[in-house]
Amino acid sequence: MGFVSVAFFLCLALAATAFYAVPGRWRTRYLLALSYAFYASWSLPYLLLLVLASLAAFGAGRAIAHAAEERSKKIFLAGGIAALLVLVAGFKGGGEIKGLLFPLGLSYYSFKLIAYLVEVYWDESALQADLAAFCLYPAFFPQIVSGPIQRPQDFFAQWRRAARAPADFAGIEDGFRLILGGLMLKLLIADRLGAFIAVVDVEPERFNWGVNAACICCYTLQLYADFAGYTNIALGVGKLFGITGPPNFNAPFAAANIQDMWRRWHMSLTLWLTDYLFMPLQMALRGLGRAGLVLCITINMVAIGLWHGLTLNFLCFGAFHALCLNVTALTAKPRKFLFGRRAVTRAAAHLSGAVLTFGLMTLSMLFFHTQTLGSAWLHFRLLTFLLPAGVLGWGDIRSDVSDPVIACMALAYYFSIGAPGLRPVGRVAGALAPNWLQYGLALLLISAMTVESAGGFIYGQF
Amino acid sequence: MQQDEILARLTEIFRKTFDDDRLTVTHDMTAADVEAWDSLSHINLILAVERAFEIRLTTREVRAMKNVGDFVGLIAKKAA
Repeated sequence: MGFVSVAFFLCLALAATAFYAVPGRWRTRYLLALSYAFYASWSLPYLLLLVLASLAAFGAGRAIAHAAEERSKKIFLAGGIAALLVLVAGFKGGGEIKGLLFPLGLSYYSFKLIAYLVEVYWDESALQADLAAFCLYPAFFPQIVSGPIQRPQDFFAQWRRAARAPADFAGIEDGFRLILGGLMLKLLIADRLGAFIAVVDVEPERFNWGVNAACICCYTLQLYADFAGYTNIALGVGKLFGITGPPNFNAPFAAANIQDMWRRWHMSLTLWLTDYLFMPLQMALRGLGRAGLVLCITINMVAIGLWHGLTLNFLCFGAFHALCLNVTALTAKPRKFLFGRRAVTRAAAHLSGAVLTFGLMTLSMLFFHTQTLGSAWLHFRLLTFLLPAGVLGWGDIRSDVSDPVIACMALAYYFSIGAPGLRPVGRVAGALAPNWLQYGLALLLISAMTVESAGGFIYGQF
Repeated sequence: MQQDEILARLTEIFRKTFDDDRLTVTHDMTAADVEAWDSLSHINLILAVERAFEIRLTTREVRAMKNVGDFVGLIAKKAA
């Protein structure tokens, strides 16, 4: 059952209402059963995998905390992490060969379980003794499809309160607002861009340069609107059950450089990698100076690429960003010297940096969006005039698909730079129209303007 | 070593690492308070502290620090 379906929201309304009627001591088991039922509606055999992985991590956590010697702790930690990584890599690499479906949310819940093991290793007080509460952490249904990847201490601390607290109506309304905003980003913007991309992608060489260039920009903007939309829905659904998840996006294209952009894009994954891969690597390689820094950045970015799938395209995506980040890190001082002294040059550097960052991310999307290097190369040649463009233009695309593209691109870009000026407008609208009218209008827009091809989320496949 | 002395030496190290002569280090200061203190420059700070106080820190110790006060406490313990 996907997030974008009437059935899901009907079940959600019933489940969230019942949640507050369930006595505190039963709530953990109730929400765990609900999360497992949600997962089972997708696949029963893979639910067993989720349960087994959770039980194994629970056992490994106890073994790490209770081991008397440091060496034993390290062995249990390494064993637990290796088992989870083999599971992910096995399905990502071997699954395709054997024709196996990739288990829903495996990349996300395995990373949650690894975070738990490392946290217990670093500080034994992170151990969770309650098995049901522990199993709820990886299985929590609002976050299982595509994250965000919440940290164990944060989740358990919030859950201790949420398991007993009465309904917090302000929090529930916040959640409802997040869900509506997410649905609008997904259904009104991302899916319209997706419909345009689907038309051009069939035979890009038949379209002229302008259509191809717009289509490639749409790869980035669709991904942003789709994933930020999903994240808002996931965070909103979580809030209905008293859990505030971590954000994934913070105006990524307002960033002055690509290093800053990665602090604002898929943040729950990049912060996970910073804490559990980048920082330990940096500590281990700190004697190597700049070479160590380059190595750490490269390993980290290649890991981000391959996390999406063990393919050459994702490897190139990661390697391209490693190159960009290394250049950014190694030129920090000269850039500060050149542009940092005057307010005018600082502002100009920020603005041009933001445009360059969007351009670089879009260029890397050629690897991310396409399935093969050949297809990425074809798009690149069309973009750089190495291949003669086709003759089909905007007018040759069905008008219901092509008409809204420019407006949707502008809207997606506007939100991706942090929607400047929206707050004051929102305050005025809030004073003029009551909340129920605003929500009703949003629902009306969603139901009247959703494209027929609306469907799954891009990050659901990873 | 006294905590005040550690704090004074840390201020010197912070100013040099983050290239900002106006920085004054306090116990409750965190990475959020210093613009240049990010995941890349963090390691330079750790290295500079290790050299200045002739100590060796572990990943677990570095990770457990929540603010400069924790850092001072850790240095005092390790350098004792």
